[in-house]
Amino acid sequence: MRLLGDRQRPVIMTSPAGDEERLGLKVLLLGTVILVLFGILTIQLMRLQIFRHEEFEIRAATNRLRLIDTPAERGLIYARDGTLLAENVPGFAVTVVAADVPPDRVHEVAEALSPLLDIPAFEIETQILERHRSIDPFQPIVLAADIDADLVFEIGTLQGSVPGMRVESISKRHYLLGPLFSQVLGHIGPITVEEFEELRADRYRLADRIGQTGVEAAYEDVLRGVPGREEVEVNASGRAVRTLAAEPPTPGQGLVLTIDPQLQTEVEILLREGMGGSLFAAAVVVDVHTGEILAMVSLPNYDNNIFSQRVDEAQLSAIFENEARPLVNHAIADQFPPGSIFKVITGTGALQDEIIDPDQRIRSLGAIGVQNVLDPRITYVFRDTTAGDFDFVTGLAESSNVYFWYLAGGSPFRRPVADELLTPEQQEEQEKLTRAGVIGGQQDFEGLGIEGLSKWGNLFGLNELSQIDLVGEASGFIPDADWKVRTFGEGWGQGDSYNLGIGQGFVAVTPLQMVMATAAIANGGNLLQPHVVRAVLDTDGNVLRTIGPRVRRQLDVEPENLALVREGMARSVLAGTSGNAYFSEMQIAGKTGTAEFGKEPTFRDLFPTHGWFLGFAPYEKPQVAVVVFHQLGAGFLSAETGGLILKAWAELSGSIDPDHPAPPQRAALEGDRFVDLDADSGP
Amino acid sequence: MNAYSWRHFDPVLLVVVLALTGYGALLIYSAALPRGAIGIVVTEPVIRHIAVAGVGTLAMLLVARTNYRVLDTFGGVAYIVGILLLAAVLFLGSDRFAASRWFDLGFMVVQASEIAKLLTIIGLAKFMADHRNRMHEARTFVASLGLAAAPAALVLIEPDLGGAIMFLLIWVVMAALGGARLRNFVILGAVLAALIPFGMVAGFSDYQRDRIKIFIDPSDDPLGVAFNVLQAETSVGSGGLLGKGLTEGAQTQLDFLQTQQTDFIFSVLGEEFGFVGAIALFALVLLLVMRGLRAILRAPDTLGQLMVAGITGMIAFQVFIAVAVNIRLLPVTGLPLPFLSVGNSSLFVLFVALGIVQSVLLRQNER
Repeated sequence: MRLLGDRQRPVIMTSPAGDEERLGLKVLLLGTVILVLFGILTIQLMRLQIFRHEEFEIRAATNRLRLIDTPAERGLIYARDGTLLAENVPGFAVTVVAADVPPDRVHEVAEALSPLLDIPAFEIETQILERHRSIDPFQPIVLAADIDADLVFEIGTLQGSVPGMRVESISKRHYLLGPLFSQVLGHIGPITVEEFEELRADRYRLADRIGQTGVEAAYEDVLRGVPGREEVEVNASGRAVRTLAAEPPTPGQGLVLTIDPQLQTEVEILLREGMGGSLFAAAVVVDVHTGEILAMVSLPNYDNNIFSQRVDEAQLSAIFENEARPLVNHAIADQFPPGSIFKVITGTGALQDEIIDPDQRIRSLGAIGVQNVLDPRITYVFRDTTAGDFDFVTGLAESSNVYFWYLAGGSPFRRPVADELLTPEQQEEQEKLTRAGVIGGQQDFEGLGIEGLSKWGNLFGLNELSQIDLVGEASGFIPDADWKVRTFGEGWGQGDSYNLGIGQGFVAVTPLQMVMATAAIANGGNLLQPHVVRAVLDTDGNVLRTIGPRVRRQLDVEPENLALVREGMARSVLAGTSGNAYFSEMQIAGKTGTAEFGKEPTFRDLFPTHGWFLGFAPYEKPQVAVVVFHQLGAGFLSAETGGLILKAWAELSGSIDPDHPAPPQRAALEGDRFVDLDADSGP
Repeated sequence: MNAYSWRHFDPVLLVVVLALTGYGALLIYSAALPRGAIGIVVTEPVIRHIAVAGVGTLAMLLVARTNYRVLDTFGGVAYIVGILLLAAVLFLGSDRFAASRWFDLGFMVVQASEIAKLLTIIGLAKFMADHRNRMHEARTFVASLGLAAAPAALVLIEPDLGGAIMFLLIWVVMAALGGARLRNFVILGAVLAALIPFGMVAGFSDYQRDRIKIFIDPSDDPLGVAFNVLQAETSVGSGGLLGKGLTEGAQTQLDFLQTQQTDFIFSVLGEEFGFVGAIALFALVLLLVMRGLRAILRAPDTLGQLMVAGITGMIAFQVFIAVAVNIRLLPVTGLPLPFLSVGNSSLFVLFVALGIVQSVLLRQNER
């Protein structure tokens, strides 16, 4: 203890007298305590490193205790009526643990497995070497995810001689109805090495499969379950020889979809029959009170089972190279100009913002001309297919563009025109129109304008995700004046409002967005969050939780205004452009859209068009809404499909009331299209 | 009185510290070696460790040159800065391994509690030196305990049980040397013992309870933390008398050991250098402790005595705990092994702390 006590120690003046001795004692005590503690460490070390050394040496050498994550059984998926849609079936995979392959035997292992698995040896070699260098060389690499049963035995016999290789029993996903539900269910697929680095923290294994699209991806957390863990002792070639402890996996939870498989089947058949020359098409049926999707079909579809099987290059490239993009759910992930179905939005907005009195008639002469603001010699002519004096209901029923151009962008003659500039004939005409209560001619009229149009487009959810429980949804697009300045460097013109008012120009929407907007019109103004899953099940099939209606937004629209829009849509089926949707068993409501797209006219001066139909049924007490979309189609054709779908729903759901058939269809009244301006009495 | 003199500089202390740091660099080199590396591959953690030691030595000399009595003026400020650091890390710190203990400065990660430990030692020394004639009173005793308990509580919230215990151990050493009465310690011990069951339920986070539970009964959770403990034990045990040699430890090189550059660096030592290597470590640490105890006795005033005692105690107890968790003597607490573990801020603070010890030694004849 020479180091502690020093002969030359000076007197510590600042300490109270007599404490010096005590300090020395205390320091000695502290030193002793520390010495004892290190003595304890030494004794324990002797126990471990000397007396029990052999035991630990064996444990370390043979050892290799390993923590292995064991994947949980993926949750099952059922349709609304309990039909099983997705199950798990046993299969076999060949894996290699790189850490168990000595570096000098990698080549040999690759050569041995290559002919059996039909994979080039250099590919196997590269994978093993890459894993060797990675941070987790114990992570099994899947060489073949689905091998045939007869190969299992053959490869199994190699397990002794090929270090690190293992034939694992795995469970494969099987989709019982394949293509019918492929876009809704999606599929699961392998994890790439890059994704794996991100997913490691969530205890994914490189060998795991993860939901890639659809419900499988959106509900990955629920379906996946919690992986179990095993602590195993493996031998020198990496085979588990003893399980020391195991924590079983918790199987994934099951799901019940909102989709009715019978209706889904019908919708698929009807949509396909109506496709004609369309590359692709989509249809959605939604419950207007709950937001539950009853049917969702996107064509062409694909068999999602091909992603569970051994990769068939030919099949895969056929899907990836198909121009119609079968993997894309066109109902939610693709957006298009809506065309005239957008008039329900323009119309609702114009009524609510009191742009127009619903009884006020507007005269359409079949076209409208807009003068260029800078150069009055240039007049843009907007053509229409109908003519007449339209009020709100007939304007919507017959899809008068002129009527909705007035509502959207106002009259083409916005600046007050001095009376003396008009010819006497024009003045007389103008007086007669005013007396008859018809807007037209040179009269001034103010429309919603871009602010009103984009406000209502946004309110109806056409510029945002509907938050459906599927992945890959498109958000739609509603332009505004600022956007146009930013994008094109020019201001928003009246012609732009005209285009937007009838769903042309810059606007783009998904079929899902439009059907949710229709549901809101039908249910009294609740914009709902659509969903395809209605319940989550535990492993015994008991309901853990249900997914109920969620209102995204309550539209501030007077009930009578929504009633007028519904009336216009009902009349559209009875005596308007949606006549093809008519069926006599139930009165329904609808609206067609024929939306031009593309930059070049294909025939004379006509652009190619998409066909749209929106509808709901029954008209009096709406239950469901439908949207039908046909790429390269026409509204009146889509209307026929939409009517058949609503009829199929009415029959399957037993909603047909024989006492309340639809009123008979009638022709739009040709003779009375124009108010007689020379008659004595007013309108 | 003149007498600040480099003649009193303790070269043994410096040599021991550099030896320990070099030992650490070797172990980090081995632990951080990429798999399949051929020849000598010096990785970033090794370079940083050596660089910090270099900068640290300079800082140590600079601090030694500075009169530690400035801390008589700034002791209170230092303490408050420490508390603020610990509070700030709770809000601003980055989470690693489910605990927010670190500030990410971009070029380096700073562990707040390592800095706060030294600042608290300074603050406690200042307080106890100021109240040296009243440390035997229960009031002063409790007040000083409060000063140590505040940072300990903040560290416990992080959550870092090991760090919190360190604050309290440092306080015990300093209070004992600062004149607190044995009776007060006994009463305090009795109160704490009574509170343990309550603390187990309310005061600890799940992670801390788990760790303690696992320590008591490893079969309770054989796959989580216990896996690390088991692997650490296997590593150390398989090292034997002489060890498997640097970079030859299978447990280390195959990454059975986790956080092997920090919490489990002793397992790397145990596996690769064996019992002999461990005894060498203990010898170095004990030599350092003795030089520290010698400095306590040479300190010219209470402030100096207490600071040196706190620093010496901090190093000794932290080494003990950090080693004990590796050989299943204590539950896993996540304390770095002083001088050996990767941890730039921790290492730098140690050099500064030893600078203070040297500063006290240089002024042993100055009063």
